[in-house]
Amino acid sequence: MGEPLRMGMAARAVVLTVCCVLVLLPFVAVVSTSLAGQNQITSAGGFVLWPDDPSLGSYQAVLSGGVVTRAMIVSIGITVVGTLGSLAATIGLAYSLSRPGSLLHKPILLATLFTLFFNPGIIPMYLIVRQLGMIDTYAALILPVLINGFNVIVMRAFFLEIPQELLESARIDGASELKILMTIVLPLSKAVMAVIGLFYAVMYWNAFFTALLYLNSTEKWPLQLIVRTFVVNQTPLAADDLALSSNEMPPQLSIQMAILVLAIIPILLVYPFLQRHFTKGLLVGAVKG
Amino acid sequence: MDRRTFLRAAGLSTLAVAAGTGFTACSSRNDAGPTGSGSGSTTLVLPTYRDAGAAAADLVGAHEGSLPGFFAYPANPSRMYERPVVDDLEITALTYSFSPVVPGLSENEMWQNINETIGAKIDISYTPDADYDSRFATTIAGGDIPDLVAIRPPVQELPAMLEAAFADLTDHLSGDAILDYPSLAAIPTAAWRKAVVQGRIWGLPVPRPPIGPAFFVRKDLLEQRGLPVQPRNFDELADTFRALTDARSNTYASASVIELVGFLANTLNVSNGWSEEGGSFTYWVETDEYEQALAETTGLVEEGVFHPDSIATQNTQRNEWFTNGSAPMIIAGWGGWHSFVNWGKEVAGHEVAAIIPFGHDGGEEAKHALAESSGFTALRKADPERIDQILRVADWLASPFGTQDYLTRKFGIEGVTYDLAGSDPVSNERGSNLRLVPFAYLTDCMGPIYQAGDQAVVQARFDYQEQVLPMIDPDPTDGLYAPAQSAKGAQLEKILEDGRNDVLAGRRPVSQWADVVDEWRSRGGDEIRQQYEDALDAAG
Repeated sequence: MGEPLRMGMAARAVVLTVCCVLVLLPFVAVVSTSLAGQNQITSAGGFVLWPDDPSLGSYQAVLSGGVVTRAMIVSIGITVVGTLGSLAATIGLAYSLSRPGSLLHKPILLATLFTLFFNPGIIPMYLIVRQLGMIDTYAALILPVLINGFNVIVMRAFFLEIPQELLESARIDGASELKILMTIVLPLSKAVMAVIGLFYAVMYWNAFFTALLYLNSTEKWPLQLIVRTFVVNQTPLAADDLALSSNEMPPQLSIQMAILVLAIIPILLVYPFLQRHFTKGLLVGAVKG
Repeated sequence: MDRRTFLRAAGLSTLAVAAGTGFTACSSRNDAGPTGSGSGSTTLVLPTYRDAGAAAADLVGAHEGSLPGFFAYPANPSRMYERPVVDDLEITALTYSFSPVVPGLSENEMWQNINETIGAKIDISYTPDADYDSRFATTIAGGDIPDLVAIRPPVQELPAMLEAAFADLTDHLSGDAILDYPSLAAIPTAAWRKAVVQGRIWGLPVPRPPIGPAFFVRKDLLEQRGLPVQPRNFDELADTFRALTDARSNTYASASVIELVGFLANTLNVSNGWSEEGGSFTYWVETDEYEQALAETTGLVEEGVFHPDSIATQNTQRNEWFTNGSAPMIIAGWGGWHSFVNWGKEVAGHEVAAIIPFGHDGGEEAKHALAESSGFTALRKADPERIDQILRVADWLASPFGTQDYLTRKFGIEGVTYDLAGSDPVSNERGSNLRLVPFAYLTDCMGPIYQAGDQAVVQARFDYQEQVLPMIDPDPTDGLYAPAQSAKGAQLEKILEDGRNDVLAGRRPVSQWADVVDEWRSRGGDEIRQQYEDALDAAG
């Protein structure tokens, strides 16, 4: 190996290491701060890079009372049901739109595209949800966002790339459209399903605004909305406003960080399993509209 | 433009469109007796004030609006109400909260106990404070309005909305009528002014002392360096800022930049917000004094006495810097006094004091910041009997400090959610979580100055209050409705905020502040002024 080449390798290694550190540092700080005590946070004036005396106190504080645990179960439920429902609906719509000559093909495609550019706005959405009797139900978090136009377009593009001859031959053998979809198209589409599924899952997992508008009872709130009440609201002075003496409250920052950690772990756990499909899936539709 | 401002702008303008038709239909259906919209023909008689006589205070203030001080919770508190207060009433409510989410009714024995005590099922929905405006807009537009709704002006078309959907409480509460509700009658008159719109009482106050942000300092650190804890004029304050700053050791005097502009304007004898003289209104940013305050703060920023992340950072962070001494001066809520003391318990020598606003060039001519209004809680239209029942519930929710009812509301059940240390209630771990149901943001008594087991803080806050109350001007816009304020207020504030931050960050010279104010005037500031002047005129 020549000298310049080794220099290049070394430079690359340094650059990559620096990038990795820059990406990882915030995560380390979040996790460390969630484990640190108030003394250390105070003397550091904020985030802590490594806890001197790690304790799980903040996690206990967050998980006691059962609000966060319940919200986590709610969030997981909504994410699983929502993602499966969304995938089913998106696949159905995208497949029928990818078959030329299907019923009302053009208008439905245009209507789907329309939603990419125009959004109904908060209040009309609320009125529809209310008229359908979905206020204070979990359905309100799933049905209004069940199908995302962009995901339909991406998936349709993928379906269009599947060689028509495959589908033709199945049809000649007497397979129905449903059978073709289930036994030929879907097995070929694992990559795009993984990607779209992840898009949906992340959307459901992160959604807090719909819950805020549509759910009256806090018992039904998903994790992200609970996180919001901890992180966004946390002006400790407000606690005093309620005549709450603040020695009853655990370290603010470490609580915030503990709940952030709890909120990102599930998605982080899912990601590695989908990663190998990810690159391929993302490129779908990149060159073909 | 941040998300919240955007939502307020977008959401509420949609609200006006979406809700407009509904309201018209609604108001023609139930003709709501006296309307009072725009007419000031009859002068409103505010609710009579009568002390509930629940407990004798340790410290009694000399000014109107002084909060009493208590060193301990009164022993053997009395029960003010027969139980139950009402007979099996179901009430829904919508409000906001600054606290993390609380276990719901089915798992919250403290909440259940409150319901049982009142004899009502109070079902509160609430949102984080930051999101309340969107939730409020959709709820109003959607039309299924809870019995009690927290209203936080500016709200577009406020008078029309109130008339269409909410009950006019004037006949129930005005003058001596309020004496039927002894706890509500003990809410100070100033707080009731916040619930008045165009000459009628539209809701229940969420009473707060009028004292706005205070200028806290780390007394120990200042004294260590021989710096004055109470500067006598601007120059002394500026010198203190310089002396406390040591950028090499990452220590700055303060992280409260924007707040300092307001404080300095106060030292120049200018009040926050609108002021009124002889029927004409002036907004504080228009004054030469405000510009001077901005110029002086900008000068200090250039000298590097503020923490470099001052403007962008969160309050939580500023509080940490104050506590660990890396920014030992902070302008923050007056109510936070005890919190600062408490956080500092682990820090050797930690002592907190607050600077009384001083005359800019010496003397005592100065103002103190006025607290932001906390809005009011409106009652949905209903027959007078139901309104009366709900008011009885509200009355209990305002039962004063020193009663057993107050303990039931704020601390819960003795031995289950709190224990007594002497006569002072102390929440246990479960209680401190369960008690955060935001009843206090529906209505409340005026809380006294009280901090269990911390006499020094009570005394310090009380002394501070007594000194600054005469320096606070009441808000001249109380009870006046300016449509343009609701419609454009947020965008206009944004213009001022951007302009001010540009100046503070050195992106624009202070000399351009006049241009910012001109823009504010032409984009709606003048219109708001005119509307306030007209409204004041109409109110006579």
